[in-house]
Amino acid sequence: MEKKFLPAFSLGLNMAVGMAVFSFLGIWADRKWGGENGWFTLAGIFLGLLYGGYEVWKIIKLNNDLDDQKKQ
Amino acid sequence: MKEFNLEEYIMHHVLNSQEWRLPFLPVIQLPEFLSLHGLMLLICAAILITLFCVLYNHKRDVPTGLTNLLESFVVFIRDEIAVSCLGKEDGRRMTPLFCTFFFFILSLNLMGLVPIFSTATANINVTAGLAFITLNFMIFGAIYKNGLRGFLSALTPSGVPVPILILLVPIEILGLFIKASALTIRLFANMLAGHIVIFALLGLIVVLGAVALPAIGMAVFIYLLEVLVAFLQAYIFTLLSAMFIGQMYHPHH
Repeated sequence: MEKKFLPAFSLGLNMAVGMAVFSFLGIWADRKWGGENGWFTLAGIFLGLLYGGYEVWKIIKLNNDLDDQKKQ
Repeated sequence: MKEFNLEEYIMHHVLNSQEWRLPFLPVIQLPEFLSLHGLMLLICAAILITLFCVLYNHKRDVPTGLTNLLESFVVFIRDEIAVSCLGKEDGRRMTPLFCTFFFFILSLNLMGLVPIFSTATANINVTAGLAFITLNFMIFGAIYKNGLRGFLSALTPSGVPVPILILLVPIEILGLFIKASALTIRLFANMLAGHIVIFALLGLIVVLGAVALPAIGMAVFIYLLEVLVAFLQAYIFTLLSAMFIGQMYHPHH
């Protein structure tokens, strides 16, 4: 298997677990500090989405760098 | 007659317990400190020690039979997983860890398909323990190899403005734990799900009667699929562990 495809292999579950972890942290924070409107949960979900996007960006950047190295 | 409870029947077969049921023998009650899955881990370790210390033939120059089979797996793990993810020097040094991961998980997965044994990898505590080893290498192994400064630079992506780093570095640190959690859940869920499907299909025969006899064929199909999954999940766990450790050891490659 080509090395550049490896990180994409684990992307799906990493994104899902990332969203779940951040969401649970948000739910925990809401219970602890009493955010009545669920702001911490919403922030957690947003951070989870951000993490997923960040992982995708890293894979694209890695693949671009590898392609550039090949061209040179 | 006691009413058949499908959920109880399935869960009895996949969850951990303190008793070991063998065919034609009375139920073996396990001591308090040892659960059924714990016992499976010990049996698996004993099988692997026997395989590699007793049955593996060191003396012959050209390996044959079982020795050849085991060596082909070891060489595959060394060249295709360890060296390709960690480079030649680190890869060869870390090969024993990945071989241990692969053979241990593979044996546990395959033991789960033998009726007298139970699947220890369908227990989240076992998979979490295995992923914890990977996490330790990702953190402490990387600190040992690159120093604290090198470890921190692995957590800061290059070419990103400083204000964004304030947000990205905590996410990157949490990312380490997320990757380990994903490893845990991947192996646990795959092993548990396959076994639940097999027992659900077999349970249909008791619930619906003879009409559901084709379910046996389906169960056999899923069972054979499970053999594939046993190999695949052992490979994937080892490959992803090597990849995650490699990302921390050589962050900018």
